[in-house]
Formats: sequence, structure tokens, C-alpha cells
Amino acid sequence: MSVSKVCLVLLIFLICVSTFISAGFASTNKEEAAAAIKDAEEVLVEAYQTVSTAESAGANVSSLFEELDVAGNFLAQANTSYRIGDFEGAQSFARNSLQIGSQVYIDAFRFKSLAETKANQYLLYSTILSIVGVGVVIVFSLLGWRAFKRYYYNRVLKMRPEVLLNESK
Amino acid sequence: MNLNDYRTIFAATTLLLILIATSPTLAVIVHVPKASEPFSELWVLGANHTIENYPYNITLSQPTSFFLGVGNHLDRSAYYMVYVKLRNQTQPLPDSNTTTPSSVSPLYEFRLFLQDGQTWEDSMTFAILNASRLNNTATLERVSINDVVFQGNYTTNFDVQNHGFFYQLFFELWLYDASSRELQYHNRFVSFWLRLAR
Repeated sequence: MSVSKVCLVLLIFLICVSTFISAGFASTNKEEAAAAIKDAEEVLVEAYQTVSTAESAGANVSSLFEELDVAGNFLAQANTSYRIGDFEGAQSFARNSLQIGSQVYIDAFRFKSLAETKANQYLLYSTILSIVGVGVVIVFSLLGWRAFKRYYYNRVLKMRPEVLLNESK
Repeated sequence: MNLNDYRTIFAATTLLLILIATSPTLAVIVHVPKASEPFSELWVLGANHTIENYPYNITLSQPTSFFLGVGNHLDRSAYYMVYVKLRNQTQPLPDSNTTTPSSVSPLYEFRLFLQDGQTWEDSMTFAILNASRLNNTATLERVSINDVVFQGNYTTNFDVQNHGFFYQLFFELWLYDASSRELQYHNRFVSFWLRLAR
């Protein structure tokens, strides 16, 4: 076998190996990108649900919705990049989404507990005020009714029968 | 008026005052649902931000722009996704009767989080970068949406009746469902036709 033939065989072998290795890397990248997108999606859903709970508890969550929007935009870009085969880009966008989503999730918990404490306090104060208010209304109504009844009877007792001229005939 | 009439007036007034005194607590405990029907909006507007001048005749490498919008009137916050899809005349559209999305693969997507009463709108561009024609068949090889390039073989046959090669760009609205914990097709889509100029 001549040197040139050995070189040719070696070259073909190297091309095959490099193709196999690059295909392997691409496949790993693809899997990693898919996993990163899945993680980002799960975190975003958890963050959204926590923000919704905080909103239901009465918290002002406008700023959290803005952050969620940014994270959602990154996730959409990650999915689009994945579709066009840009797995590194997809992974990068997914990581950004995950980072913001995680922060929103933590903040939403804080907002939620603050709102719940506020709501509980409001409920306690309003219940106490309502009970006092109802008590005052009932007491004043009873006293008022008794006073009115006395006034009414006095007025009736002070009345004198009158004879009208027409009836005497 | 006799005493019984006065008693009734007193009792009614007392009840009314009790109701006023308990109203702050009742407002927290009792939730009255809104009378209006909850709904979501999805719209597409032409380049002039009106319901006319939609992209129609499209030429190679000539980007065309339009506006896409979503509105939340569901009486609660919502997590939406909009899929941007491109189809030819034979590929299926979403089925409103069965609430099924189109089986055509999405190209581009948006993910939005909107509070009740909030709307979102964004401008979009679409361009055909590479296309080929063979007899009565046209193939889009490269298209771009918002400067993201998509490669593929979007093939369509010549429409003799309307005299052109037609593609439809359509937008599906998906909504996150908390019970199933996934995004589901929200049975709303908007679209417009594109005629590939020779």
C-alpha cells in the first residue's frame, strides 16, 4: 500500500470519526436544550400559579406580571430557536427564562404571604367593627323603641274626646 | 298610624342599620360573580393599524408587516400562548366544532401573561426569502418571521380559479388550564391569505 493510499484511508477514517463525534455533540445539545426548555416551562407554570394565588389574596402583582411576561418571551424564543435547530440559543433563552421565573416564584410567595396577613388583619378588624356596630344598633334601637313607645302612650293618654258639631245633631 | 306600624318601621330600620354595619365583613366573605360572559380576544390588523390593508400580494425578500393582539376579559389573570403557523390550501385549519388545533407545525410563538382587562399588541413582519417554482407547484424554501429565519418546504399548487399560489398565515390562541396543568387550544384563531406574486 502506497503512502498516498494510507493517507487517503486515514483521511476518510478521520472524517467519519469527526462526523460521528459532531453528530453526537449535536444530539447531546438537542437533548440538553429540550431538557432546559422543559425545566423553564415547569418553573414558569409554578411561578404563574403562585402569582395568581397572590393576586387572589389581594396582592398588587402588576410588577410580577411584567416579569412573567419577560420570562415567557424568553421561553417562546427558546422554543423558536429549538425549532430552527439553534440548540445553543434555545438553551441560553431557556436558562434566562428559568432564572427570571425562579425569581418571580420567590417574590410571588413573599407577595402572597404579605397579602394574606393583610387580608386576615382586615377581616379581623372588620369583624370586630361589625360586631360592635351590630351591638350598638341593637341597643340604640331597643332604647329608642322604649322611648318612642313611652312618648306614644303619653300622647294617646293626653288626648281628649272631642264632639264634633255635625255628630251632635 | 298605630303602634304596630311604628314597630314595623323600627324593625326594618334596625335591620338596615345592621346590614350597613356588617357590610365590610360581608364584602370580604361573599363574592358576587360578574354578570358578563368571560371571553378572550385575538386580533390581527393591517400595517396601518386598521382592519384593512392586510398583506396579500407578497413578493420575494419584501417584508410585510401587520399587528397581532390579545385581550383578556376572563375575570381572572391568564397565561396565553399564540402559535404562528403557515399552511397551503390543502392543509387543515383548526376545527372550531371539536376545539382541535391545526395539525400544521408552528413556526413562531408568543407567550403572554395578562391580568383581567389587560391587552397586548405587537407588530410582526413576515418575508419570503427563498422560493422556487416548478410547473404548477411553488415551494417556499426560506421564510422569516420577526427576523427569525425558517427553512422548510412549504409547497402549494397553482390555484386556477383565483389565479395564484396561495398560503395562509394563521394564529392560534392557547390558554393555560390550571386543572390539567397544560396549555390548551382556546378555540380562537385569526388568519389572512398571502398570494405569491410571480
